[in-house]
Parts: sequence; structure tokens; C-alpha cells
Amino acid sequence: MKGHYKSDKDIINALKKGGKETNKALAHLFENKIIFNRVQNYVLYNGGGVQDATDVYIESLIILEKNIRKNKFKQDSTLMTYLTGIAKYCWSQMKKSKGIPIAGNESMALELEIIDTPEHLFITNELKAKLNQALELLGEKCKTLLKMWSQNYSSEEISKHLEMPTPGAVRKQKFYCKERLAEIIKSDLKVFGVYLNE
Amino acid sequence: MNDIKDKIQDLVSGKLSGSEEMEVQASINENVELQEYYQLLLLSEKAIEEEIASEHRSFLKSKSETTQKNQTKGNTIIYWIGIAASVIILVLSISTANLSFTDGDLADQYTYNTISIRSADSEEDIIFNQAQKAYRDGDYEKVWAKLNDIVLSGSLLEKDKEWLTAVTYLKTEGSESDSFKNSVSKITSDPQHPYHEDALKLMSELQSFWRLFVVKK
Repeated sequence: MKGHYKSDKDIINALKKGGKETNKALAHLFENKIIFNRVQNYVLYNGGGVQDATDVYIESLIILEKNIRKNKFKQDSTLMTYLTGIAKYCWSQMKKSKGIPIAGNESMALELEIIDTPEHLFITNELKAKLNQALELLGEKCKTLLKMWSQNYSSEEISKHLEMPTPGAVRKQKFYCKERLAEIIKSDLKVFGVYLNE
Repeated sequence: MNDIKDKIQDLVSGKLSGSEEMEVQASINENVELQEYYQLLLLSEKAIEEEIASEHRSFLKSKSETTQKNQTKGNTIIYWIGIAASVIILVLSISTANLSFTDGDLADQYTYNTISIRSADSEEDIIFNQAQKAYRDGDYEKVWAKLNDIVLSGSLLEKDKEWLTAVTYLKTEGSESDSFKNSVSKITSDPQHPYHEDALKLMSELQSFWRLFVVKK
């Protein structure tokens, strides 16, 4: 999986940087025909269509980016193998949500693949909507700060982007914003209570 | 309290080392208030991650749409180029067939290209040249009259006469006429005939694929 990047390590570094670098690396992976065809063949062979394959590939790249950013990818395998594993897992989740039965041999293969596969992002649409509402209540500045913080932007970059007085103020502001978000969620325990301890 | 909360935030964001993780996890396990805070932060983290995922999803979907558009555009261009090329080939083929493949056109083509003017050494040669000229002038009655005046047999001139007779029948009565068929078969069945090859070629052109389609006599 080379192309514009000399090695998997270069791609991983780009994905960890956030912003334009992440988008460039994601676009590079998205345009990788070898791995896309591998994923597409798997999806088509296991009861999906061409559009399903594209959706699976997009979701897999999103999970890959998150796991790399959070250091969950231990680099025991190549990026291609890891991404293919995620894609297989993604398709099994999508099949479940679509009510398509998973064949016995397919789930067995998945169990083997999944050993090193990642925590995933599949949450219900209902929870997504509620979390989105909570973020809206937080305000634009806090939301942007938390997103940038999670994406490993430096304090200098964040302070410059948000026109904050000093980089040192970023960490304090981040703490405050997370506290506030936790408060918003706590204030609506009727809604979120069911999702706690999941 | 804020210190440990800050560390729990880092734990949830995946920004702690292995040993730090264990330390913070132990603190959480000992304190109910921190356990609740930790759970709330997990949900907060999901909210932030979903927001990031949503941005990546939009970016990748727009990439996918662009790729699909380009593919469709490329396919459409190739499709229309194919159609245009087919139409051009069809028009050229039909127009070529129409221009040169009628019975009369073929007769003219074979008369002008295969029979040469004779050297006028004898009266028959002169008559034959007059017959050829009459053909060029479109005076076919005169052609027949002049050809009837040639009485030599077994000579090359007689072979010229047979060939001119065949192509004149083609010109005046068409390829389906018995007169043409009889006169030309006499030449095609004789491998020694000087116009044998020309006659075979003429018959092949008369029976060509395009003539079956767009024959004009």
C-alpha cells in the first residue's frame, strides 16, 4: 500500500496528523484499487451489492483512521491486512443491521480475522442524533476545540485556529469543554441513562 | 479532584501510557463519583468521535461521487465515440457502395480499366475501337452494330469482343439478365480466356456483401 507514500508508516503518520494530511491519506487509501477490489469481492461474494461495498469501504477507512489516531493499531500486520479485516467486520455489522443472515463459515472466518480488529464505531442512529444534540448545546467553539484535540492537533494549531490568547490556555479550555459536555449528558439522564455502562 | 478528572479525560481519549492507564483505572474503581464521570466521558467521547467520523464520511462520499461521475463521464464519452465511429463507418461504407457498385458503374469500370484501344492494324481493330468509343458515348445500339461487324474467330480480338459484349450486357440489361449471365459464364468457365480473372473479379464484386444490402441497378 505505497503509491504517494513510501511505506505504511508514512500513511500512519499522515493519519495521525489530522486535518489536510489525514484527508490526503484517506483519499490515497480510498483510491487504492487493489484493496478496494478485495473488499468489494468479499462483500459481493457474501450477499452484498456494489454500493454496499463502497459504503463498507468508507466505514472501514473511518474506523481505521480512528484506531490509528488512538494508537489501537499495534502494527502486527500490514495496513492492507488490517483494513481488510475491518472491512469484513464492518460488512458483518451492516448485514446484521439490514437483517441479512450471516453464513456459518463467514462468521467463523470473521472470528479468526477479528482477533486484532478494532473497537468499532457502530452506534444506533437514535444515539447518534442525541449525541449530536448534546454537541450543539456545547457551542461551536468548544465543539471545534474537542474535535481538534481528539485529532491530535497541537495546542499551537488549536489556539491559532480558535484565536485563543496562548497555547497554554488550550488544555484548560479543553478540560472545561469536556466537563460541560459531560454535564449536558448528565442533565439528560432520562435520555442517556440507558446508554451509560454500555 | 480536577487533576484526576483531567487524567480520566486523557484516559478516555487514549492519550495515556500503559502504566498511567492502570493507575487512573485503579482510582476510578475506588470512587463511585469518578465511575459516573468516566461513563459520562465515554459517551462524550462517542459524540466527538461521531462528529469526526461524520466529517470523514462526507469527505469520502464526495470522493466516491467524483470518482463515479468521472467513470460515468468516461464511459459516456467512450459510448458516444463508439456510436460516432460506427455511424462514420456505416456512412462511408454505404456511400462507397452506392458510388461504385451499381451494375452500370461496374460495367463502366471494367470496360475502361480492362480493355485497351487496339492498334488499328486491321479493319476489325478499327471497328472494335469504334465499338469502344460508342460505349463511352453511351450509344449502345452502335456498340452492338459494330460488334456484329467483327467476324474474326480464334483471335485475341474475338476475346476482346466477348468481354466487351459481356460488360455491355451488364450495362444495358443488368447483372440478372440471361444475356449477361450467358456471356460472362463463357469467360469464367474458360481459364485460358485473357479476361478470365477480370470476369471472376467482376462476378465477385456483383455478389459482394454490400451489394446484397444496398444494391442499385
